[in-house]
Amino acid sequence: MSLSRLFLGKRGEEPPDNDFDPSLVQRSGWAHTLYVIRRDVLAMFSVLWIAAMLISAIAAPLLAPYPEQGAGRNNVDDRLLPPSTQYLLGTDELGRDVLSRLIYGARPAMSSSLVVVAVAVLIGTPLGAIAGYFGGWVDEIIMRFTDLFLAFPSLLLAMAIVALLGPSLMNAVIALVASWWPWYTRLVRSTTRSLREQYFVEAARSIGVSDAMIIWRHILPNTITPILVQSTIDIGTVILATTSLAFIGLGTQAPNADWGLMIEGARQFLRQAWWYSIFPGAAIFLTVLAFNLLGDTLRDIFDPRQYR
Amino acid sequence: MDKQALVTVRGLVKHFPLPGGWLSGKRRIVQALDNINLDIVQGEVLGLVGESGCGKTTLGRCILQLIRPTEGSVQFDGDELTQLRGDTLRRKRAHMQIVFQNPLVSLSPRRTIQQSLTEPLSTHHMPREEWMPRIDALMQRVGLGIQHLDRYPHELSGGQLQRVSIARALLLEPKLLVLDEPTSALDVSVQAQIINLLDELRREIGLTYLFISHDLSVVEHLSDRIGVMYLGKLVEIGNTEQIMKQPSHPYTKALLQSVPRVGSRRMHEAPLLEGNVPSPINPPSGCRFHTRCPIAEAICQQSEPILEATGAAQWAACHLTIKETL
Repeated sequence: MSLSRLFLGKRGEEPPDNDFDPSLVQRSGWAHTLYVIRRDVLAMFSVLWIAAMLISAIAAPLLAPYPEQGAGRNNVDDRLLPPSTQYLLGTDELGRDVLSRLIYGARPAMSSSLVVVAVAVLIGTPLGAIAGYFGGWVDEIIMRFTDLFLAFPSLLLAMAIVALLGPSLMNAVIALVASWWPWYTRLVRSTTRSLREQYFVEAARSIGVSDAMIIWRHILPNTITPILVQSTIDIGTVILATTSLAFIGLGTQAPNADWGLMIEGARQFLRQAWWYSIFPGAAIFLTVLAFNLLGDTLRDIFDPRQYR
Repeated sequence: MDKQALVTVRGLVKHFPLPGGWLSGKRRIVQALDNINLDIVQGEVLGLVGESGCGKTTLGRCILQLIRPTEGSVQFDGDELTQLRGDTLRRKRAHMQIVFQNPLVSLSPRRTIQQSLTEPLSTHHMPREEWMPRIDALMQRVGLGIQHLDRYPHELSGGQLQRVSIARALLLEPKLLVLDEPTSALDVSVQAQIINLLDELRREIGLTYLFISHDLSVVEHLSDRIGVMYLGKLVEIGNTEQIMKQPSHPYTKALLQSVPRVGSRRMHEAPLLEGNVPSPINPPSGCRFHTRCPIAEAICQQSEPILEATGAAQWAACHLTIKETL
């Protein structure tokens, strides 16, 4: 008996767990994520700052000390006043409270960046999954099309599109979506290409599962992590892009509040009113930084091997 | 053969083109399978052995059309599989299933065991009320309980996962089960349990197995017939007893020598194989084994031997053994 050296189990016996590797057991996803973020000071700051910006955007009329000024009403009697107890962060050249303007400015920043990234993910992901899964000429057509968009610098392409459509926040969002979706197509395509070679995809094929269901059930759930990491970082970058467009007059239009627009207005008063330019600049800087740091932390959590 | 063949493989060839080479004009090709002919008889276990890289896994994949063969025909249960496309092929897959080597990577990491097990049933439109009774019965049969159903693959052990894979493959009551090194990734004690489980299952259900492994002792235990592959060629095939006791092909002899056995006297009859397997990109001329064959002669470099009968139910592809027996 060549198998006599082996342990021959009897039918119905519970198999012993001697090839069980406890290190493979992961803490459940979200609990682990929260645990890591709470230990990490920078990540904690990022989450709190982003939460503050989201609350400001949603509840701007309740939080702003002067809601009407935040919305754009002039107050010319109090032009360019320095920070005081009455105006915590000073006033702008039309006498409006800078703090109120900042809180109202969180609205275009947060909403447009979330919309841009969400729509870019929704367009880019299916195209990337299809290109990566099927390969061949389908891949070739989709990827050459995305190359067409990627050949231009994102901001330049967005500027060209806004110039064509006319300056407004809505058109800025459309323009940024047009220049951002190809990045997700690329990301999802490369993830899909490596997933396609996995045994569980071959197992699904051997069962007879259709290509569409394989993509839906077995490929897409495994692309969520890299998409989540990338889109978190991208929200920061898109905020920078929308405020840049507003700065050059191609985004939010006055009298609506926008951080980029505020810096543009403050440019002439750099010497007289430092508070007017510093605070919106800091708002952009901190928000972009927060999204970048949070993205990095998420990347570390989901893929500790690669980045530590 | 007195029984009916479930699978008939004729002239099966698989070439994998290598990337690059178009600049130099020569496209290099890996000859993974070269002119394979074999039958898998209804109800038997055909073991397939050979060193890694000999093409045994590719053969299993080509039979199931998971990899499309370059040339040749695969008939399964009366259908020419190489001609089937799309939906027709997908419906046919209910009758031929595969169990992979590493169960941890062959189950979707983000789906529970239950989700993985319902997939074959929903894919082939089984009535929904039959799903859970079937899954429960099979889980119990492979030695797992319903408490495992809502776990994720990383929460189970290798042996448990391989039981899940077997259950998934059997849910649709297939006629053919390809077992691609189903025990290689497992601990020795767990290996025996899985082998015994597979043995019991096929006796109970009357399954046909194509059992692919590099481990001769495991193959011997389970198989009715054994096929030996070397560098993309089937070099010998025959009844298990004959192959094990009276191997014809020098490669089979060398392979048997390499299996350690307690109290064996055959240990020093022939020298063990030396050197490495030649590259399948430029396989040796004539008999592919002549570079390592201990008894090779001039003819072996020139002409390629074909499978010829060397016993009652035994065929080998070797110039010299045939001379011996005639």
